Amino acid sequence: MRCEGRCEGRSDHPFAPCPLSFTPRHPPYRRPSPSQVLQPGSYVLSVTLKGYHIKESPFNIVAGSGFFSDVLAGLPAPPPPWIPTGEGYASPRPTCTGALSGTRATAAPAPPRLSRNLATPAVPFARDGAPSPRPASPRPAPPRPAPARPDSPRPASPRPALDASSSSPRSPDRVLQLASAQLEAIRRRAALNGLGMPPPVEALVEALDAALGPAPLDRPTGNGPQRPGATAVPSPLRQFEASVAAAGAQMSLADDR
Amino acid sequence: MNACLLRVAVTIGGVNLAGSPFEIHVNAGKTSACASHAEGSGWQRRVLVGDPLEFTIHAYDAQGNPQNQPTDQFVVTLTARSRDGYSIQLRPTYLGSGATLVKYEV
Repeated sequence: MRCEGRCEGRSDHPFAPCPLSFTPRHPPYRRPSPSQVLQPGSYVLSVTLKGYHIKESPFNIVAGSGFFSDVLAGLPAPPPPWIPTGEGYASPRPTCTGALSGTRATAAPAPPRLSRNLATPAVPFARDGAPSPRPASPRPAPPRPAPARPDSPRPASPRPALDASSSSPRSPDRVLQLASAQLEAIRRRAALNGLGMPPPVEALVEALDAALGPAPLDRPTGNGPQRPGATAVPSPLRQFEASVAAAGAQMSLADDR
Repeated sequence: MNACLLRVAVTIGGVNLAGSPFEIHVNAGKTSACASHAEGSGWQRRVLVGDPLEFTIHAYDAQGNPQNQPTDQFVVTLTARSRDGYSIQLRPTYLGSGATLVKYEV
């Protein structure tokens, strides 16, 4: 602050600090911040009016790096796995950050791959080549990390390195692999915090949320009634998530056994 | 009844009474929480870290009329799903015409 005029007690030096101090007679003014920054993680967002929730409130928010949403939003649908492509399924996106960025697929050509998917589950075969008499499991056997026994030490990294060139971004195997890693991280976190293991379905949903990342067009599904005119048609991503969740629930039940 | 402008006329034998016709402004009633909704980038289940997020709360009364009175005090709370479960209250900003803006960033 520069002092103008003849201030009492001011030295003759033109740049000497002014001894005057100004004390506001009103509460200190705090400029309202344009936004409030929170830590990444899971939150419950609720909007209430006089104690009553508005529509779709409350609901869970998962703040993630957006790996899957970036991949799903910015890339065309991958061709069938038996048709080789020269472009690959993924391309580097500089906006994609987070723990998975190091394992993200590059623009290298994706090799042809004979993989299972949820629509065509693998049929187990007997040793003689004939189909097994047992009914085929609706869940394809995902490339899960090695099952950790309770007495065996857990791996150091909760997220195993993913071979991005071996599967397309929409591959159910890939989603299940990520979800398995997230589920393992949840279990480790629960064990470290001394908490009991959350219910399998909730843990799986949280793992899938973290694995799939944000979906910009995803609407919350709260407890309140829907607006008139709102369509309840599930999106393909929602159907895909539901099928993966169903498969993962069986996987979790198998783990519990 | 919807919020609107009514014109009331009282006649006897086709002749208006004194002061007739007159107009009535019907405003929206008290805001109903279950009739109000929100929308925006911050009103979804999965959000991106580092992006500024916001959503707008649209206030309606029980009959579906948009609220035009700035009398509603919405309480916006974010509760962490961690062990401590701390809560953060976001500051809503009234925009007018029953719209309230909430900004935050994760």
